[in-house]
Amino acid sequence: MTRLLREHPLIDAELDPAGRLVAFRWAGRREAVEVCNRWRVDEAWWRQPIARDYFKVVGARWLALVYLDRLDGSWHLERVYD
Amino acid sequence: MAYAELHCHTNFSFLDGASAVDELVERALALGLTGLAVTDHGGLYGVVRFASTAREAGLHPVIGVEIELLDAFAPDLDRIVIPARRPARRGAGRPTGRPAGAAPDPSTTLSEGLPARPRPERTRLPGRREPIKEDFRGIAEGSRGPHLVLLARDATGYRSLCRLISRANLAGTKGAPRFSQALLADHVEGLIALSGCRDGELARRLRVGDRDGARQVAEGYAAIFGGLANGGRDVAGTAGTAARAGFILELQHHLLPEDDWLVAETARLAEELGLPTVVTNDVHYALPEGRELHDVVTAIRHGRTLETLADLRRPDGESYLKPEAELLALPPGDQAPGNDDPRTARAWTEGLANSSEIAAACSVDLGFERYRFPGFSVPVGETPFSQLAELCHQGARKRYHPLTPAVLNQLTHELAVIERTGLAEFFLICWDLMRFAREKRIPAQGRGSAADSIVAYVLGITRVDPIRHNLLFERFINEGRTTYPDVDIDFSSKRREEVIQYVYETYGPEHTGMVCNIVTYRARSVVREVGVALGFPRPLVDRVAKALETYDSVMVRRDLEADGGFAEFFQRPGNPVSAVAPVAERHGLADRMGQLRLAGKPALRAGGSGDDKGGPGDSAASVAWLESGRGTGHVDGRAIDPESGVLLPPERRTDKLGRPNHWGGEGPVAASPHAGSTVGLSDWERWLEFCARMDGFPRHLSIHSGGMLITAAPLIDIAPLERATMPGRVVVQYDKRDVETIKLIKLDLLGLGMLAAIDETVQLIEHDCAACLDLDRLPEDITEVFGMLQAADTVGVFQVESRAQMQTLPKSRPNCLDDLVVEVAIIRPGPIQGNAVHPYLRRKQGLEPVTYLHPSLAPILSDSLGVILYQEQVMRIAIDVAGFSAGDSDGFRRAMGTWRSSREMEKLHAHFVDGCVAIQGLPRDDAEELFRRVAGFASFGFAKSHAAAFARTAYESSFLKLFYPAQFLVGLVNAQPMGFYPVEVLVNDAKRHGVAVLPVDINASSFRTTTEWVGRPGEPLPAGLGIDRRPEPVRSPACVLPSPAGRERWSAESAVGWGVRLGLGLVKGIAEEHAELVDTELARGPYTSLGDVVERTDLPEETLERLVRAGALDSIGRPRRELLWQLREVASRRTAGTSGRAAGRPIDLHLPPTDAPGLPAIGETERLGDAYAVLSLDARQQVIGLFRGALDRLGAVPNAMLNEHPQGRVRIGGLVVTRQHPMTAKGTVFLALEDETGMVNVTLWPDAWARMRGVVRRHALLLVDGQLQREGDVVNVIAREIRPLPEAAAGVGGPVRPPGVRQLGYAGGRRTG
Repeated sequence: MTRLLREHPLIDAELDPAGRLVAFRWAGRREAVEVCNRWRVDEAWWRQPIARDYFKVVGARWLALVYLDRLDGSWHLERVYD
Repeated sequence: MAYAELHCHTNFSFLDGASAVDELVERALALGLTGLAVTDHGGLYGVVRFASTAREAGLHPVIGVEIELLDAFAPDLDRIVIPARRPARRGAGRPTGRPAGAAPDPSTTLSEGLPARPRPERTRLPGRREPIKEDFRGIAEGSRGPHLVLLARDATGYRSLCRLISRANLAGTKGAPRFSQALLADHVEGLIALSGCRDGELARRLRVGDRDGARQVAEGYAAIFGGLANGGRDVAGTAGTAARAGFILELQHHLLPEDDWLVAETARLAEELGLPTVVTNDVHYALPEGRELHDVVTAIRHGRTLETLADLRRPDGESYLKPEAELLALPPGDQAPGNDDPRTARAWTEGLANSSEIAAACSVDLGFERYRFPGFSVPVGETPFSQLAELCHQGARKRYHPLTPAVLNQLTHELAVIERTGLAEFFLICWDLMRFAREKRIPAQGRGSAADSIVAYVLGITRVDPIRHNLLFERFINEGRTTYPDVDIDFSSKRREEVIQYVYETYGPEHTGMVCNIVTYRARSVVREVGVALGFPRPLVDRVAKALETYDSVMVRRDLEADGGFAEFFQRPGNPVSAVAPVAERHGLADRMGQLRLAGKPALRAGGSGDDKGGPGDSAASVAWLESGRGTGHVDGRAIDPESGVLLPPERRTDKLGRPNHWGGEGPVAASPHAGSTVGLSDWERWLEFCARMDGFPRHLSIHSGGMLITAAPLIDIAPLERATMPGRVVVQYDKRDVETIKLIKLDLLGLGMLAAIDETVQLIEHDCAACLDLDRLPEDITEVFGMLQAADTVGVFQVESRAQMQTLPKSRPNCLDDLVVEVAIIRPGPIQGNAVHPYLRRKQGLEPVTYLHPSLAPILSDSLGVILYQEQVMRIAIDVAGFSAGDSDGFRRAMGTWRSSREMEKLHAHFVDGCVAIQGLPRDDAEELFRRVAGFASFGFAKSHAAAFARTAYESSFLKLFYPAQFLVGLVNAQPMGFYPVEVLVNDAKRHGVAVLPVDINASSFRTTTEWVGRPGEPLPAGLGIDRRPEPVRSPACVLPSPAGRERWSAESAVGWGVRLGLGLVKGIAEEHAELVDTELARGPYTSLGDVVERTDLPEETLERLVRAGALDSIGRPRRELLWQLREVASRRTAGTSGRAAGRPIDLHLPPTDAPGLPAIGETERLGDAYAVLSLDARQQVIGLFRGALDRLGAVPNAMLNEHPQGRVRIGGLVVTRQHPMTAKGTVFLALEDETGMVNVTLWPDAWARMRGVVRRHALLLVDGQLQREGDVVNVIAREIRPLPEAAAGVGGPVRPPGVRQLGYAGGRRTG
């Protein structure tokens, strides 16, 4: 079952010194994760630009899709796979 | 380590590449790349300029191509089936459907392992746009043939590329080469193949999980190209051997979801097969922000808008030139799934290292000096040089009487240089062409710097005596010069094709080709295509494009911003749709959604205020759009359909369950991470910005007007060929600059309308007046001819007929041929901008003394009264004053002209100044001043030889205009299109000079315009001419007639008795194909009735209607209205039985023909309107004649009287015949306004233009209030107020607007210069 989150909540991302995503924190809970896949989305520049780096991550409890908004540097959780 | 990019598209991938060559080279250098390959789609269009730019900049160039294969690789080599060739598509019909030769249906070719991809339905926007290539619009890359990158390792490899591309192009149709596997397998020598991007066959197979298929493909290509040069696949593909390999696996990573995996799979395959890898980035633009422009050009290529482009766009924004560090950080990063696999990491780093090794191993020298002469056959015992020397001496004896030592010395000198530079064959080729032209009586003459040479003169290539004009041979050839001398030969435009065929026959089709001309985006095309791609409504795009005055796409911004309305219009996005709902409704553009509310603001109209109800070319839709002021494609966040103007439903921002998808948020637009991005700009700003960025982008190839390439080696080994639009014609993918760069020999065989006109004039004179003119022997000092030139009575005269020329001729007052040479050279944008014109004119008029900076300059600059004007003068100054050698002086001239590097300039500067001081003893300050003047001049230099050749032709055409005006007019009319003025101006000008112009008459006119005997002045006119009396010559200083003495001396006595009968070919719709029939039927005897005309000419009904309206059927003796009444009946009877063309007509009941009811006779106004509508001219009267009464009442002055009118306020009325907006004039606009008595120049200063632009652009008949300025004999009206003449005239009882006058908008819409 996939859950698409309505508001793409902000998350805190933890990066290692090399800049790789190792864990994120959402709703007060920290989840250590490993990245399975990543891609970049750069879209709709002529309207409302979207520039995001997506990461599909797996942790102990979740398989989730998170992204880094490259326009303002914020991290968001977009989708959680149960 | 170092990186070289081996897969890179320039804008020569024709709308699949967003950066020009120099931009890429510059960026590659900045990033420290060790090499750069150019691999455009299917051709080598950009490689020559790329290779030379890169070499100059110090970057190692690699030449390559990315081909799109017709068929998938067949793993078993023995089973390769050569695909059956389908016949090329015929004609341009079949607008939809897949053209033959296009990519085959992917479901059949990629059967193994790949699911059949559904081919997307191609949606077309209704506006017609010429396809850039074959029509692949709407077809995604993935649905077309697999890609493969080929790089040339050496000269052999380059040859293979040329052959492969040429053969694929010749097997296919224009723009759709057919690269089959079989063809590819035949052309692998010297090539390195890279497996290609994600649309390469290997990647395609891997992406769908077909590992075995991918493996077979890789093995197969490795077998064809030689997996490893030293023996094959058993040697491990490690770094160091990559450069010797023939097939290399390409690794690309664009941060797409599957890229990690694809790289890992390719790396695995490479290791298993022992093939080397290389990292490339499939570059499509130099900088990250180039992605935006790339999306725009992709949209243009597919004929879509950005919004509807969907997956046709490249999915990533990563295809820019990346530095090594950035690539190194890509896979296999720890976050990649391949991180447990050391193979991926190894392949990636090796691939990076391999790139620069491979680049270094590829080295092609694009110099083909050795191949340039096709071999000219000379008699046994002769060498080309001895033959040339013999011909020259023969020629000299013919040209010079007596043969002076000066001539012989010059000839000996030139021959010696020609012998040393080995150019004898070149001259023989030119001589042979001229010999052919002479034998066939094709008018021909050389132009350009060739006229500096006495050899060219005595061989009959040029007609200018270099001794007489004191020309400088070194301007043409010198031993220091590295490029090829340039010979341009003008032929009569009507017969140039014969010469081209002769060249093909003589040197063989394998050794001969036409140079291409790369058509680049100009202002209008760029505005249109970018506008549509950005989603602007098409009517609005049309309006903006039509508002442009400039041709230059960089100037679009300046031009449109000057047109105040637009910027303001766009600042109010979406204001108004509803304010004008009634308008939209009236035009059928009513809002279907019915949800728009009145905004309550006044609507703004695009394109400024004033009379803006739409002009020629506006449709009801565009008027509605503009009136409604819908500035952008969006209203309240909803898009407007570009075609219908209907608001589209709001965009879906939620998924099916109504949850937001967060694609496209609200709120302010965030800034883009890229510096040069257009994010955040308004729609309008973005439009302007992209227009500027697309400046100079190549659009498509066409044939160069006359560049022929002749080579020793088969052309196919030297340059890639492709089909031209003209059936059977083949062009080289290089343009003339490229050809010069690779040092091939090129002849410019140009078509010159004036030569055709002069030739016909001379023949007519011989026929009509029994006078045989040899223009070569025409004396150079006929004072009456110069009198005419001084009066600027030059409509129709070669080179000196333009507005600018006419304005200066009365000041420069040429009174010998040398003055005319100056006149031709000086009225050009360069000298005008360089302020060389006024000093010369002042000196010529004696207003300023002729001085020289130093006495040593006097002999050099005396021709041009001390002003530096010709390139030859620059060289002579360098030689005589600064002590340069002849060869260096040419280098000096070129360096000055092109502004090379400042260090080089500095060196030349020092050399020049030191030389002046040392040799002529100039004071250092004067030497500096001289250098400054020379350098200032050099950017616009003009070869004196060229000017001299043109001046001679100008002189001859002046002579003919003065003494044989009727014959000359016929020559000009039949040689159209040519020259500065439309036919109507030429005809009116002749009439003002007393030439009887007879109307089009089906019983008297041939297809072409002809002369007709009308009798000498004073004699009664023969019956049936169609005019009542001869036109009286207009009395005006600008209308020069020969004196009786001059006439007696220089023209045949009967010359005055000839008039001109306009030809049927002038009627719109009668084309060359009707010529023979029309002429034969005329010879058979007169037409007696309308039925007779219909039967015998078999012209379409619309054309017959035009003939009636032109008055061509008046001689049948029936009133026009009756003829029109009958026409439909008669014509329908003819067509009903024969074809289905009668669809939509009343059924033919075979009733007896009805008699026309009593119809009123046609009035003069209507007659004139019709004539202008159909012919754009009238033989009997100029349209302003109709308004003369009203103009008199309005107090307007006829143009011929302006010379006597006091300076100050004046009012004139006239028809706009040309409108000029020269870029040199800083926004000033010039109109040539003609009335029945003459032409006058009207000047609009920029503020006046801004105010009256609307009226001037949309009306042809104008009433101008302004200020009369007279400078000597030059009259100018500075416009203050301009109104449409018919409206002004109506107020004082003038005629109603002639119905055909609407079409006169066409005359006003013509732009020149």
